[in-house]
Amino acid sequence: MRGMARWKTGTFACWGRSPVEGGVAARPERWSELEGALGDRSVPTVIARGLGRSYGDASLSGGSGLILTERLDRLLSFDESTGVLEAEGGASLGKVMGALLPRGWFLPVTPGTRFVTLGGAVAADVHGKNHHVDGGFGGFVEGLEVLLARGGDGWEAAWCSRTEWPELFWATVGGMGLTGVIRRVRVRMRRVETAYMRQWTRRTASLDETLDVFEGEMNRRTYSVAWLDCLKRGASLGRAVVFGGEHASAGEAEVGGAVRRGDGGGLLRLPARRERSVPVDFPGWVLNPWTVRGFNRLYYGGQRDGERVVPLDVFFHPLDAVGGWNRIYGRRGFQQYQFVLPAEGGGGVGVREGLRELIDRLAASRRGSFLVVLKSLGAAGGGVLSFPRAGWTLTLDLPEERGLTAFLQALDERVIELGGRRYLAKDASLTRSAFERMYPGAGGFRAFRREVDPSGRLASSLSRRLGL
Amino acid sequence: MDEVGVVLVTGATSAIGRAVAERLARGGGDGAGFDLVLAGREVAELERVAADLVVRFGVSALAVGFDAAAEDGAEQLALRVGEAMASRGVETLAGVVAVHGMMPGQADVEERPELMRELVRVNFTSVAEVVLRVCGRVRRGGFVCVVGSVAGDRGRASNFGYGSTKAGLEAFCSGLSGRLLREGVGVVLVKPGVTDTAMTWGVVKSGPLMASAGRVAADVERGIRAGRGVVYSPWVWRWVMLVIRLLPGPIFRRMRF
Repeated sequence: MRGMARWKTGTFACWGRSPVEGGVAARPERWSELEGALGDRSVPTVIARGLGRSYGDASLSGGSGLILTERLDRLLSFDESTGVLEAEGGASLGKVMGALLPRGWFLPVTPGTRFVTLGGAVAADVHGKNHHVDGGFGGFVEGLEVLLARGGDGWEAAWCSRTEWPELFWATVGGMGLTGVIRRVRVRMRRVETAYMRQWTRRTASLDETLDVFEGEMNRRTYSVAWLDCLKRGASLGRAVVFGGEHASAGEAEVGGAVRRGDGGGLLRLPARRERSVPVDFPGWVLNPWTVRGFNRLYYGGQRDGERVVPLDVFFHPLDAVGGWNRIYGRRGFQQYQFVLPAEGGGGVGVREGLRELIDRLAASRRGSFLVVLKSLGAAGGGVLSFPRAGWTLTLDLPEERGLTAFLQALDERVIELGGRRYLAKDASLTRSAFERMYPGAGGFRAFRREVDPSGRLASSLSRRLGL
Repeated sequence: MDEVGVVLVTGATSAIGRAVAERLARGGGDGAGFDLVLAGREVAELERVAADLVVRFGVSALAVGFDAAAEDGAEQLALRVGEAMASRGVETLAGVVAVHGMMPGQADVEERPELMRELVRVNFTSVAEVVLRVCGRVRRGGFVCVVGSVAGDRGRASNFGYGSTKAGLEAFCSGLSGRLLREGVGVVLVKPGVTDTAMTWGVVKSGPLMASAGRVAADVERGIRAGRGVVYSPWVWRWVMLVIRLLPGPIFRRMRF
């Protein structure tokens, strides 16, 4: 029984619930079982999958094998003097937060959900509200242990970092799991005094005002982000609620109303949060331009300028309080479209103009949903296929419907003209040609893949679609 | 460390074993968790389980090799546990939880009946021997917990190789419970139904009755605290198995499940 691979046949989807594909999955609980699954030649290709929070087809296998890493989730060591945590790739950011926040340590970079594994955070080189200051997750990774398919049945474990085999390191950071299975991650955590944030809020009436508030005020803070109303055109185009944040010191938290927990948790315990979940798939008509417009008006109208103290989970992971929120999009699911436009502009068009144009196109299409996030990104990291670069990134959810893919592909062409690119972790519809033009590093990545995975043992639906 | 105590958990690399160890290390509302001795075949894997508990709960966790299939496996484990206790200056154990076991396919067992030897040894004999060797070290007020299975309640055609070994544990625990009464040690047999672990992955279809390893661990904790004799996990299996046990033989034999 030991080391024998057990595969379960099923259908799988990522967070956008579209596409849905069949495949077989192994869910190893021990390293010997992981090795067994990887070495099992009866399954032609494999790709690792953490918590399935990418949106498109990055952790789908198109009928072949998925390695579910969720049970290889142990925290292996934590050094209080350096703040370096070593853990298995399947450990979630939520688990790490839960273990280390009470001791005064927080994630250096976190995306909008804590239901992402360390391996996934590395493979997508996730970015957070602090990208303009701190860069992406990869910048805080001190080392990676990657299992490489060296041909034959054998898999070889290799450690890599900025100094040790950096080529493998920078191919793996942002590499969508295509260099190998990330078995262990070493990440440098951030010291915090409390589990609270100081949050600043500013409502703006137009795109220019939104970008001005970012540049003039919020980007001076460690964390900044804006929720944007993507249905507005004309003068109100780009109106938004802009947020800024800083970790609160003990004094600041208490002044802001945080209550020191008597059970020894002090100010490092998060107050209990009411968690709800969406119990059923909403029918398709629930999300339509009228309801979305109504929501946007309510949300925008409900925000007040000012400063307050909020718990970390409310600031960083608001949607985690609503379990299965993707069910709001119904059975058809949705695509999440995220692109970045470079700060210096492109195609003879300034970045503000480019943003305005794309937002207007999206508004005119009436396809957008209420979740639209605008973020200012800092300089690119070192990952060969990493998404971020200095500029502005916009993220929207678009309910899946006829013509959506074609619409997005047309947008891609304009994004490319404007010098921008799409985020692979959100992508389900990028064409191979658009991808090549968006990511000049693609050719080099492909060549490196052939080196570390000569028999092409690692493949996902994303890699097949993009010709990686 | 002595105030809370040390618990031995076998099968600690399995999903249920890990979940049980996590519960014990986490402790209750009072904060303090148990220190652990984790036993299993793959020591390197046990060390990872141990490391996780140390990082998260600050308890001490020791990994000890234990081969339940070996004839002297139980004896060796008892020796190592004794050594570990001596080196820490610990006189008594707070408790023991025996989780280890294996479930080969029934078809395999019928094709190669010699598998029964290993099956009986791993699932029954080694559990009984470990518990007998170690229960003398459990302190007054402590516990012995054995993880059985609902499959032991009545042998089904589809799974009686495995089921019969688990059935033996029921009689063993029942007798042990009486024997340890005057020692003040509680004996609990936890009987999970279908649980979502590597043992059932791809083998048993998930259904509404499938429980998580965490659920079983919660029931183990409940059983230990309450000093209950037999705990079905989840509780609904108590009623399911009652019905199954009451089915008349001629009907039961014909059921295909």
